[in-house]
Amino acid sequence: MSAPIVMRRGEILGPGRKGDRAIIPNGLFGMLVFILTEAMFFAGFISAFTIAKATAPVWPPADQPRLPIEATAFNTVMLLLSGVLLIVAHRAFHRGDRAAMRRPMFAALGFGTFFVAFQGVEWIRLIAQGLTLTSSILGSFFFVIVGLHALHAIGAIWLLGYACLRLHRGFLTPSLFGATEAFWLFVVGVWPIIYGVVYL
Amino acid sequence: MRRAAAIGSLTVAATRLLPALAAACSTCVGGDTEASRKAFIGTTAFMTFFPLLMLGGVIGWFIRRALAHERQEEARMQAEALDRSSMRSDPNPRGVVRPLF
Repeated sequence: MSAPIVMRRGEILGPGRKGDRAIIPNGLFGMLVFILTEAMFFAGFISAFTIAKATAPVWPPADQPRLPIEATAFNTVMLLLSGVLLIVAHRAFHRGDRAAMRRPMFAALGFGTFFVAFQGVEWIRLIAQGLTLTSSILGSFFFVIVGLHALHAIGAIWLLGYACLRLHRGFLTPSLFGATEAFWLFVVGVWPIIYGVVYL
Repeated sequence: MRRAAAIGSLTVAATRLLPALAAACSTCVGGDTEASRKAFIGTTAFMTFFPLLMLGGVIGWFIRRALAHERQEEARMQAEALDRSSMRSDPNPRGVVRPLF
């Protein structure tokens, strides 16, 4: 006799023993493993930047433009707001209220897209002012660290957009929502650290 | 041949695009000022404990979820057992239609 299929909230999780139930959805587990590796990736860059900053005779380099601290602080608030909205959606999801999670999820997607677009405008301004990848050690670290974060944010927006589409069609599974939420909250959570280390 | 040329041009492009030297190695540079010494010690501690804390946090969360899950299962099984025993003792259990004649 073949093993029964393990299901949770209508989602097929795979074959298992009778009475088996998943503790966490598979998608969320996979995303957590990915996030752990990505967190180490950012930790390495942030450590290298901290040392470069401490060993530099003058910081920031004298001939380089200053980073836009106030504008980025505003953008940081927008990103944090999108994280809060996703937590609101999470609560609605666990209440089983799919209609109530629609607005916060789409709003989170909008705020996230705004964040990336604002960063793009900021980059164009900085490049025009002379801060490039090869102009100084500040420029190198700035574009690598902030650029990597932007790449992650774009990936997370794509995933969030897909989750919104699935929600709209009525097929959003706990696995997809858990993975999307974890990735987006990682992107949101790592940004204040990057802002504090790189900008301030 | 084509592949080697592509790898060669990529290597040249990468070296041309390389930024200024990032002196982040404690044996090559640093340690000469108080600020750099603190940075080396701080980042070493950070890179040592951060992965352990992350893994510990995730494992702790899994354990908490597993325990909560187990408690839920136990409560569900107890409720089912209680339901079955009440069905046995009840002469007219719910859902059972007794014939009128």
